[in-house]
Amino acid sequence: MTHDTVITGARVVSASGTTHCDIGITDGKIVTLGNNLHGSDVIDAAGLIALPGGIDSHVHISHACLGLSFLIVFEIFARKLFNHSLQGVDEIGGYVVAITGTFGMALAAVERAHTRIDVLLLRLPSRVQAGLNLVSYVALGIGAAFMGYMGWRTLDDSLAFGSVSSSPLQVPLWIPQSLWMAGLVIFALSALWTALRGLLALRHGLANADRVLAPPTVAEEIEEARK
Amino acid sequence: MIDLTGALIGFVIMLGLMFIGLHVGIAMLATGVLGALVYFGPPVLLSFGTNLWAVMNDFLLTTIPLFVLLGELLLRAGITRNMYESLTDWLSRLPGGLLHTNIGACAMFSAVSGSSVATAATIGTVALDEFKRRAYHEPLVLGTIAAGATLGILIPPSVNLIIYGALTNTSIGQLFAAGILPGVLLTALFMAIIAAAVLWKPSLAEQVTQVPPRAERLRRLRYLLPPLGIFVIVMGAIYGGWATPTEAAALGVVLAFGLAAANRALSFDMLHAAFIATIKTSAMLLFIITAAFFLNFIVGLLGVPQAMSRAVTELGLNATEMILILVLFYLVMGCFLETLSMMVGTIPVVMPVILHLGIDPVWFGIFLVIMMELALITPPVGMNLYVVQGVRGRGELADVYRGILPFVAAMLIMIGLIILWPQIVMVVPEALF
Repeated sequence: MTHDTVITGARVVSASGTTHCDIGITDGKIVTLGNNLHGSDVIDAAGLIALPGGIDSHVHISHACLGLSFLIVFEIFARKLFNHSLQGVDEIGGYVVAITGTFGMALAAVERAHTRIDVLLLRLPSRVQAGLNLVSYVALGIGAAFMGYMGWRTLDDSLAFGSVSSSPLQVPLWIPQSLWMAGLVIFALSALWTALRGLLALRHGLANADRVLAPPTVAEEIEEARK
Repeated sequence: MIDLTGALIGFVIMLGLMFIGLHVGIAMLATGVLGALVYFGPPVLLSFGTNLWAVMNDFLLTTIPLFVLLGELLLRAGITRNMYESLTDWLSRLPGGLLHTNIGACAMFSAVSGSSVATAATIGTVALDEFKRRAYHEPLVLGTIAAGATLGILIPPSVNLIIYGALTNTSIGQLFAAGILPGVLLTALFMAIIAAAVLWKPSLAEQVTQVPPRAERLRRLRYLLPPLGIFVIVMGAIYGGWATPTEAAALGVVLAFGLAAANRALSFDMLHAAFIATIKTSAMLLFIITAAFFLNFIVGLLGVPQAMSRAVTELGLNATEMILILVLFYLVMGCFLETLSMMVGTIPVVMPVILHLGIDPVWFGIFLVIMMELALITPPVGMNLYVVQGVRGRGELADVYRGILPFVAAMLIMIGLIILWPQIVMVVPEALF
């Protein structure tokens, strides 16, 4: 069988361990791991390491939201029934949202979930559309990097002054803030990475680039809602 | 300090950036950066750094992912079909038959799920299946679903009202309370219009004469309990004074989780899908909100609020005239802009005028959300029209356009009612607070 793309010679890291083998990709999905695979497009990755997508692991963070819900409900009942409050659930909730929010923005960038207005865009020639799609993702990357830079300055101040939260928990602010800022940096990288993927896909035609960069169609939105 | 012309140029630049397809958050960030650079220079931008952290880790915004998760869990909890059947038992004998079921099911489902796209897709799938076997005027069927699915952003809990509250410093509790009566009235108005249309032209809908026996109908009433129960408990917790809106949202999540477990709809795959959807939607919202706060901050420094207030004073407009102008403004904007972008993008320039004229921000929040509902169903960019047409998967989009007209009229009547009698909005929050 011939794959669309084959990555050869990389050290492949998976959940079960590390091996040397080729990676066969068809229709945008890894379908085979093995040796001597054939593909219409071959990427030589000898001496390099292939890692699984970091994005998927973000999902684990969102489990935090469910955990947080149970914690808050416990807090309501504890306060009401036993007149006892777990200190700082609201504070932790704020941190969870700030951190999951920035990592989620990265996921949303890769999955084209950030809102765009496409009423005019869809009426432009397809070449112009492709160009504007590319511009929008580069701009998203720059904007995210700007937010990351502002985040870094906030973190830097917290470190310099040894700031702690003004609550009974006294959380050293650099702890949540560094995770939050890391999320912003990954957001910027994800947006630029998506732009790059779109640019590379452009070699295989406008339709391929659109799959990476164009705003989701109504059919895709319905599909998403039914998942 | 900026003058009115400068502010309007900025607004047009922001719209321009949105229309060439930049991400909405980026269009707002870029406009803010541009304003700050032209009038002040770079250092002003950096003073927002500390605010950025404060905006994102605000406990109030924790409410948003929790309500989104509540909706996503409920969407997958396997309650839709039974809920639809039970509503049919009780509503189908009204003139218009199953059309009323559509409105009722959409109102109930979208109130708790909060997403009009998800509602139109979910109820649309169940309902259109049901209508295949029946003789109804198809455009009207499509119209009921597209219009019904907009009700959720008005009936609390509503993420849009939370975002409005966060951006304008208005109490979420009051906004939620204010949404209840207009939400119920608008639902009733939709049903009245259906009934009137069918009485005038009976061929529009099939006459339902037979319903299951009373005992059966009463037994099936329990299918309405989950969405109603979650609504009552979440709202009760807020107004009973024993939970903040955020805590009430968490309570709702736990209930929806239990409900899914009871319906055996709970699985790792289902949770995984719900989480992915939650995190993407919440992050998308958080990005726009953060950008809106940034733009609001710069707009405040630039003195746009003062410039806008001065302009209104010079024009000598009173509150009612201003609101009528805004009805037109939002009708036009709503034809072309996505609804949330329309709200957060216009708040920085419109809100100062509203406060200057002494219009109650709670009332204005409800007004704005009804205008957003209109935007969801006005062509060419009414998202719900496309979703319903997409679910239908055949025929012409023009059918949906024709079917939606009566409901556009109903919403305009609703806008007129709350302008004439602001008490419709204010009576519940004033009684509760």
